[in-house]
Amino acid sequence: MNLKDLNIKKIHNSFLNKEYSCTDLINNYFEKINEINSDYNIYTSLNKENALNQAKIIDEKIAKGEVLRKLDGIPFSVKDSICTLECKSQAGSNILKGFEATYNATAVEKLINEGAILIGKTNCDSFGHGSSTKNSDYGITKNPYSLDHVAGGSSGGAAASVALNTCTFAIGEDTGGSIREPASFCGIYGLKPSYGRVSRYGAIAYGSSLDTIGPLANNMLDIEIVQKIIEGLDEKDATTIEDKKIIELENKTVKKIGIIKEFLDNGLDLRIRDLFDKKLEEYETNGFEIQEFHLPSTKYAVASYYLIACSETSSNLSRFDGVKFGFRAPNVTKLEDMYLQTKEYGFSFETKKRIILGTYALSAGYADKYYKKACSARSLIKQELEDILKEVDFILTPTSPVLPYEINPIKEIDPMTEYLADIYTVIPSLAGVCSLNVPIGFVEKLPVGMQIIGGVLDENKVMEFAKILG
Amino acid sequence: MQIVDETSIKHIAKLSKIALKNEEIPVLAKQIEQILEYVEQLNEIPDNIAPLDNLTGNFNKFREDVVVDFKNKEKIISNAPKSKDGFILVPKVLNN
Repeated sequence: MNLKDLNIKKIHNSFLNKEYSCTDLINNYFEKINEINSDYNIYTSLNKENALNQAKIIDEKIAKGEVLRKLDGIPFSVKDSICTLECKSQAGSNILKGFEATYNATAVEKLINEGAILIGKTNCDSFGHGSSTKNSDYGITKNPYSLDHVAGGSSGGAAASVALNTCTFAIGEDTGGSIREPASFCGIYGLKPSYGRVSRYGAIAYGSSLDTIGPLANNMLDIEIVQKIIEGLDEKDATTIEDKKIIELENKTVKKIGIIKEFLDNGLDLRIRDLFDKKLEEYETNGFEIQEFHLPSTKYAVASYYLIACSETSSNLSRFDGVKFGFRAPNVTKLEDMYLQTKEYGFSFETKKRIILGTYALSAGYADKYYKKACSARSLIKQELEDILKEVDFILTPTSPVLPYEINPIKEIDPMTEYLADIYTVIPSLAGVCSLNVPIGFVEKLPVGMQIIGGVLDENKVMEFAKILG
Repeated sequence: MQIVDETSIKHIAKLSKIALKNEEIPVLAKQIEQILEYVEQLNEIPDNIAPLDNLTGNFNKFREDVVVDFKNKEKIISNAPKSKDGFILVPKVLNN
């Protein structure tokens, strides 16, 4: 079986034509996982027994000639920071080591209700705190194109699980780029839906006003199928929004594309810029109109994002105190010591740093200077981005200004430099709009991605556009 | 001008109920200082720009207050690091 060329529709048809069974498919994926997981470090827990049991049920359904649901027997992976009844849900952290969730996240539940089969949970920076999985307490996920480079993060395991053909699609979580950047580094598609488009119920919260759940896949058709299943209102997440827009994009209409001047100036790897410019020329030749815009508040984006995300994380992560779940520091007799030591050993250095920064930004006397100013910057960014989107259909940007980071302790990247590289992805996150990574080529054998930014609830439009670009 | 030092990092960590390893303190002080210096530029933003803290415009979505039975109660307790007879055990809170 050639796992590389599979997609949801193909598998569905192969089941119907009895070319292979669901059990065969699951076994093939697990063989692949056995072969590569120790090198690439993709999965934090596997679901083989349950998956094979479910495959048997699907095979019986096929044998009886029953109607198959859209995702019957389609194997998928889920980021470790999203709760699932099967497998562990550890958020890439020591503090949740061994934690088994008592319910499925709404997005996962919807997929399972359509017949999808969970293969395993994928590695991520603990609590989503990072862009390279080097902050995972379970080690770094390696890049599918080079074992010397990272897969990106925080959903690095999710992106690698798809790029290395160990499952058909993946569910990730994106707060400031955590689906799009690893999708870009691994040469696949990844959608961050508009804030509120997909229920966050069951996502282990990082920054609640920014967190989104979305799909990663090798092709746009799968992204579209999965997104349409997971999106929608959920009474368990009061921030979910209703879709009131119906958008059809016609194949040959000339469309306006915006690019942002501030994004193309400083800090962008010139080889990525070349590739991006070539793509723009190609689109122009194909009849798309390209217009340049200014987004002056670009300079505030990283500061605004880290202050808001860390403030929220300092509140969200206070629940990990050793009382109700996960790790508790051993041999403590005083309650206060239990809190202190549980967090000391359970949180990664990066998680501690973000909690401390967030606590500082929210503390008495500083909240106005830091948190409130960050929210004002967010206002500006949202307004300026929406103004551009009024004049064009989409905004195109590189997804990351840098190539996948090299795994080399001697060339350790300065943490601030790594934060600054999130610049293109944090802007749509702060504005709550949707954006999608599409692969556009390679630089020195490493994948490069482009980000398509649309407005709030513009998922359909963005996905249609990505399909036109091919 | 220095914004945070090792003493203030230790104080904030205490507020966050996090104990720090000795070797972490100077690194955190340096890195957080670096971030705070960087975010200083937000002070250029005029005070009349209203802060954005609600993206969707949703406020207080109410639902009927109906009790729904949760099927997986035992697992909730079994996830606790220590439990007895359906209760979660923690170190003693009161002295006497």
